[in-house]
Amino acid sequence: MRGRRLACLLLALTAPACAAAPAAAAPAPSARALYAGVARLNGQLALMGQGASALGLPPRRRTLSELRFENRDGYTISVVAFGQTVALDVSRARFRLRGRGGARRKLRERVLETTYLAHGRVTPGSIEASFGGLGRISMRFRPGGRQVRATRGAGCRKPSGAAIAQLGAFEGVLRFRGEGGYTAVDARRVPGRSVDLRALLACLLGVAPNAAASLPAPHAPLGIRLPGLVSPRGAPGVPSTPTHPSGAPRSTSLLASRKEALARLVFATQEREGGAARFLAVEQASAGSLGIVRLAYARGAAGRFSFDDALAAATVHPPAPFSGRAELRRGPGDAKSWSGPLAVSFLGAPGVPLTGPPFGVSLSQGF
Amino acid sequence: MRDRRHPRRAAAALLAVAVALLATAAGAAAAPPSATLRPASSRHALSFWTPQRMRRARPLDLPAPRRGGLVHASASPAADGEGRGVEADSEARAEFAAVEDPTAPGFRRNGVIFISLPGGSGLGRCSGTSVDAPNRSVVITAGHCVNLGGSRRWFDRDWVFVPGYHDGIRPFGVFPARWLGATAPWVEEGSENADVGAAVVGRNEKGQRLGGAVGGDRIAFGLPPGQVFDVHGYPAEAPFDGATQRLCAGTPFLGHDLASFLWRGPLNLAISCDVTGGASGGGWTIHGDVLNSVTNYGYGDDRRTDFGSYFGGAVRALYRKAASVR
Repeated sequence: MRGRRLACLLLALTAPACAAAPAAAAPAPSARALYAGVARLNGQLALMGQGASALGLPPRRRTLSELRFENRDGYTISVVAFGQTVALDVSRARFRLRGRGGARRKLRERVLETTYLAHGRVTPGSIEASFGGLGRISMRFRPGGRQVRATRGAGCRKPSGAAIAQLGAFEGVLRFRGEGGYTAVDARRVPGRSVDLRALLACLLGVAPNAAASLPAPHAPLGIRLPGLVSPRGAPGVPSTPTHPSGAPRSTSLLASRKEALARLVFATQEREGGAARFLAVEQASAGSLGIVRLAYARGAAGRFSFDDALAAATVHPPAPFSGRAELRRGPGDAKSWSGPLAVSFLGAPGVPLTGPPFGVSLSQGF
Repeated sequence: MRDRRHPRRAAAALLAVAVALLATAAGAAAAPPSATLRPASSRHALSFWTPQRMRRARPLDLPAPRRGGLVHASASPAADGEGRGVEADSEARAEFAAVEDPTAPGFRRNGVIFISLPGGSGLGRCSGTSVDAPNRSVVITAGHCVNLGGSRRWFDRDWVFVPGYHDGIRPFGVFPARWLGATAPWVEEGSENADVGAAVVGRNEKGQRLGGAVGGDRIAFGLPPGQVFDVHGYPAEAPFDGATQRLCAGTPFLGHDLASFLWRGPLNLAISCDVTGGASGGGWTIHGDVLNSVTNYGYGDDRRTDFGSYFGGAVRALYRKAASVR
């Protein structure tokens, strides 16, 4: 242990991320935390209509490698790797504390996140992939001697005591420079883990380790359940259908979407009666040997999304990272106009317009 | 006929194919799984497929689509556009034009595949291509036209190939399958990056081998993805009716589907062509008669874009195994 600390100390002189290596006393992650990286990616893809199991890892892909650290510029960098897929995620979130005492909650005010997907070579002990002109990863996993086991304390439904994950660090090279230089990563040693996916699923789902199990269906990221985008099984929902006919306040949603051959851009806003308005933009694109998913989210006051009772007109004026405003107007028949200087600045893609004729728009209410 | 459309590419094609055939596989491909059909099954298939049954066959409707929004080109299209709450896309599509004479030398190697679906769940159809092989009996199609994907369930009942099919006519007869195979990533985990299948067919009613009756396209592996493709197929969902062969001519590689980054195998290929159900397995040829991909799937809200598998090591292994079946 002492030798490892010394090595890290020496490496830290040139590699800032080394300072974020896991402390021995840090609590072991729960099973849900081990699954969080995949769940986040799955949720992003579900938002784009890729469905429940676009990331349906079959059990034969047994290893899920993940590393995560905070870069010196404040961005959180994570890499999730399985099979041939290597997903590098850059994100930054701003939170606000709400409530008092034990009821205090962290609310996400703003989220910016871009995920870069590449095909690479992933083994239980290594990750290698190129992100084209943006960078590359070539790292080996060094177990730190700590394990997460399938126990009730780890959150397993059916504790078996089997090892779910090895905790340790990835060493090697991770170099990445976001488009336009919005972030620059140069890491040599970062905290990470190697997860036995089959054991993790057995723990989460409460099934035997050798049972045929599929990943849990994605949840709507950021809590936004938009009609037509995400439903519990990932299948497209139906607009204007009351999907939760409970006593909950009614929600109103506006969805604008543009689809091209290998790209999709979605803007959505949702407001629950009496609550804040939430704004989301997601863009997916395939560029050469990279797949890119960009996400921007913001909460704003209810008045930033206004609409009439007949749902014939609406106005949105979201806070940063959005800019400008847009208006939806229904004309005769099914004619609609969606216009205004509304734009969003994603990580790596600033000033992306969110209005215009290529967008299809719907305005609907549900429960 | 297709060679005439691309006369300047013919010489380059010969060189490219020679290089491709000699090149070593990018990685060691797992042995492709396969199923051998009983001779009695082949005989039954020949008598089973009457013209009336062929007309009744519908594009395969896979029981459990793995992704919302994604529709196999053999599947009955769902109302995805409406389901997402977005406006239907009304922009012009790449034209899947009717081939004037599907029995002409350049087109007769393409045909319709008819299948009795397991469990009496109906009659299905796909598209396929006869390719050159020592046994003169190999058909290349989509993996999901021979195997359910992610399982060992083979579509081994009454599987037949009808080259040059049009308007219920079987100008070169019916060729029943005696062997079915698919790439390992398709059978093992249903990877859409490797949705390629093959069949070795028996003789037709006249006792002819497939290669003798219609010839076979050449096949190339390991080429750069940036090719210009002629996309063939028999789309049977609206606005098409499956009665004849159709062609999207000279459509260039656009890129890779985002979802392709999540699946095992080389990244797949996107081109512009307004395929519908029934076109699955239809051949993508380059340089006139060199098969280099097949139609796999599209998205319900973007009918203009067609996705096909890259022909790399796994497809090469499949072809070699099929070509070696005696």
